[in-house]
Amino acid sequence: MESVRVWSSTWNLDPFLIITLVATGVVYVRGFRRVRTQLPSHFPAWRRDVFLLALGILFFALTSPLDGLADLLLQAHMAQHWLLVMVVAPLVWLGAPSVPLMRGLPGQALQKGLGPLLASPAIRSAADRLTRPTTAWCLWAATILVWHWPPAYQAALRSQAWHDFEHASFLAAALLLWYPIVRPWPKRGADPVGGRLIYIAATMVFNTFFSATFAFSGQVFYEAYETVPRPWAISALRDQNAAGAFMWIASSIPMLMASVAVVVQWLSPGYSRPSTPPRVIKADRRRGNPQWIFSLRLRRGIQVGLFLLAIIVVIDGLTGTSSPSAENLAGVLPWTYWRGFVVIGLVALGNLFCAVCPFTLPRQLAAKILGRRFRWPAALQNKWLAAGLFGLYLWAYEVLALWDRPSWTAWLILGYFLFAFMIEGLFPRGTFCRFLCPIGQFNFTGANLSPLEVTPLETSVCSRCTTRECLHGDPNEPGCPTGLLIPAKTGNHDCTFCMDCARACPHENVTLSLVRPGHGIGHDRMAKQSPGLDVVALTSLITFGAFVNAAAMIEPVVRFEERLATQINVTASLVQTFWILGGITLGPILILSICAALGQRLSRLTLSNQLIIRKLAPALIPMGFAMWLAHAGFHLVTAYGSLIPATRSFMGGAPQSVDPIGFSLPRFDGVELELLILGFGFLIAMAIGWRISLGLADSTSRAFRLALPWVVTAFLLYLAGAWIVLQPMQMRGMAM
Amino acid sequence: MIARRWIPICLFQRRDVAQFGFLIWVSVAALLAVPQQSRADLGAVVAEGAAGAQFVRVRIEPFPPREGRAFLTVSAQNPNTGRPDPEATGSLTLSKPHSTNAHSQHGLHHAPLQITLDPSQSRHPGLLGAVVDLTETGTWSAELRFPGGSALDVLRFQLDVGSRQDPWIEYARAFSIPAFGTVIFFWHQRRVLRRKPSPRDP
Repeated sequence: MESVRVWSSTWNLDPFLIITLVATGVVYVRGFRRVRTQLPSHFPAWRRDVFLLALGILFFALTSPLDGLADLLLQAHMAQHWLLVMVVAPLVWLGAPSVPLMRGLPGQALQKGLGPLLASPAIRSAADRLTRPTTAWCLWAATILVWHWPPAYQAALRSQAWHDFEHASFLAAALLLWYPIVRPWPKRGADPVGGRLIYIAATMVFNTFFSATFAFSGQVFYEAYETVPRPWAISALRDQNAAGAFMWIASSIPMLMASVAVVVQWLSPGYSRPSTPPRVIKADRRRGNPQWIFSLRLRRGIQVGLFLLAIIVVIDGLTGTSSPSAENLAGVLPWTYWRGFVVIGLVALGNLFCAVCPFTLPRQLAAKILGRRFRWPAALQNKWLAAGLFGLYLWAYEVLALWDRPSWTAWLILGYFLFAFMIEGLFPRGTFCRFLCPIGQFNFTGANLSPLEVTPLETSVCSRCTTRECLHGDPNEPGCPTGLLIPAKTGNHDCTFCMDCARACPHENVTLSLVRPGHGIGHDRMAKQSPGLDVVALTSLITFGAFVNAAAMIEPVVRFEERLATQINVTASLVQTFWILGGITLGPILILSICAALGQRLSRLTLSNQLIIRKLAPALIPMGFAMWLAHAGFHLVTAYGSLIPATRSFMGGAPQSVDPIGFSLPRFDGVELELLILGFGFLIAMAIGWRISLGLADSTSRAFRLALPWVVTAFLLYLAGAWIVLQPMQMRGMAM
Repeated sequence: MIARRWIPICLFQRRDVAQFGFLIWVSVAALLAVPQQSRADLGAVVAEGAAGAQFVRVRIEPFPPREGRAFLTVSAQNPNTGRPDPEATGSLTLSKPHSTNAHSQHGLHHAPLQITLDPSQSRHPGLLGAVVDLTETGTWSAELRFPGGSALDVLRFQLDVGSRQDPWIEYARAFSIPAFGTVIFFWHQRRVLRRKPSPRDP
């Protein structure tokens, strides 16, 4: 009896909660009876049962001893949250409650109160926006992250009101999360099974990383748990690790069940597939599709943010600590984070950095001050100068050790701003981007592998258009800064993703489409011509530069350079200079020439070597970007916490752990992922080389012989990349 | 007008100058390279924490460490201000794998390596440095001490040292991707091209 008394005394029988739950149950059952008589196929009895079960579990989660134990044990608190998020929410939606709850209300309340309110366009629009998968997922993830932030979490432990608000927000966020998965009746519209599976996968990935943070952490996140009595003598750290493990496993189960259910539903005979998959991401601005892609205000906002960030980097670079450089923002942000994010963004989506480039933010101001009086010389309207500047960047980064000299990095950023300002002020708009900016050239080249491309919505509209606002602009909107005519462009050459063309087009006929990555490789930027030698030189420099840049950081090459410098009695910098310049100029020229000559001889085609190089050398771009992605991504992942000490140092704070959450990422084997990326790069390069060769040759066998030297070169580059990633590498103070 | 006077635009209108821009930057780069001395790698952080009155971060280069010579770089900072201590010196004790009791199972004595950390050995200003010879593969135990610290003010950490051999075999699974991918690609193309015997010209 004593144990029963203690047990029952720990139940938190909140009358308000009980009344709310009972009232909800009564209204639902009443409405369910009514709608079931009219729509029996939509409302089988199990729906009522799961809804009532959801209410019962909600009651248990919030009133049982579990709630009291949650103040002492993180595991118990996580179990409580798990019940709310992963059990109650899907069960509620499985009950298809919207219609039964409305029909269960008294007639007057529905007709004069809730009915008109729910029918209002504002409410319907808000509900529609909130239940979109992206919005719902982001809100859920933000809710989880905010409430697990130690100050917020501990505030909830201290205050019952905050605790109740925490649970309410968890439940609301969970209902949003599960809505696109369960799609409760009367949800209408296309049912993208693939989209639902990706949504579930994204949730599981988020949950895995989030839970792993708790499961593997070496430090206690919530100090409050160290000051309360420890039930069963479980330490706060062990409790936290166990809570993480629980979240990881327990949350995966409902998600796996949901994915199985989606697949089963998809394979079932009664499933009706959507008539046409939405290929175009943003079909028509007037049809209510995402407007933010085309928003100039959003673009300017991000540009301003990056501009301010650049100012902070410059200030820290000039005034902050220079040794170790890894604790200066100018040593960390540009060379670890920015590089990594740019390459990942290019391959995953498109030319995101150019779209929000801070260097072109003062473009209008520059034009007003300097007047854009000159024309860019015809002799410089090519990529030679940009290629030279990119080579100079590669050389300067390595030989001048820019990563180790924050003040030099700061001056470089200032110089870049000034250079862009002058060029954009003196010459026509976009001159800097198209002919000079080495970052832009890198992005243009990499964007050829992106899955997104700015294209016309309907080519027939463009063929009737005579004004070509996408190119020239109109009095209110500027046209393409790099001089691209949207219906004539191929691939993402020279496209900054700025969307000026989309805003300028009076027919609203410019959109962002999903394309086959790499389809523009082997063509010029316009009208499907062969790329010029300047473009080939630039792309080859970027491709081979990836290997030269990575190899310059590995142990055998560094030691070789040191030994050579000692033997011939010159500085190591001079040896490095010859290594880099040779690797990005003489090496590619030699390799490409041999490939072209061999291909020509083997295939016996009457093509000039120059044409073969112009057509087939760009096929190696995927190999180069695989190396960039593997290399920059590796440094980004292994140095993910470097921002913490650098920011602390900038703000004058005490030194703090590089590892911000006590969870060590080297457990994750980056080398295997790097090798996989390189492997896929080789396969894509081979496929593109083969596609171009088929277009050049008059028979399959000749195409094979023409492509063979290029495929072998791609494979040798793959092996070189694999060897590089298997070597000890300079981590430059930032890895953990 | 000022801009027009200061920008020698006619220089860039010469075609030969533009065409040889590539060579120009090569020359400029080579000239710039001569007086510059590159700095060495900082390495990867392998340990951090308090030792004595310092907040210490230990980095090793190359990373991951393999048998042979390695550079250690240690930053010692004031835990309150974050400023590096220019006067700091310290010592590092490195114990070889399987030598925790100073005698291995074979009765061989493995004396721990005693290394003095010294600013003069660092290739980065304001940091302490040391060159260590990692002669064996395995997990080494390290203890870092600073003068003035009590016996408890020691930073202990472990260092995994790999073999000199490149671990190609360990990643056989990743290497199989291009091999299988190539086979599948050829098989697919063969099927496609059989249906369409002659490739079309562009």
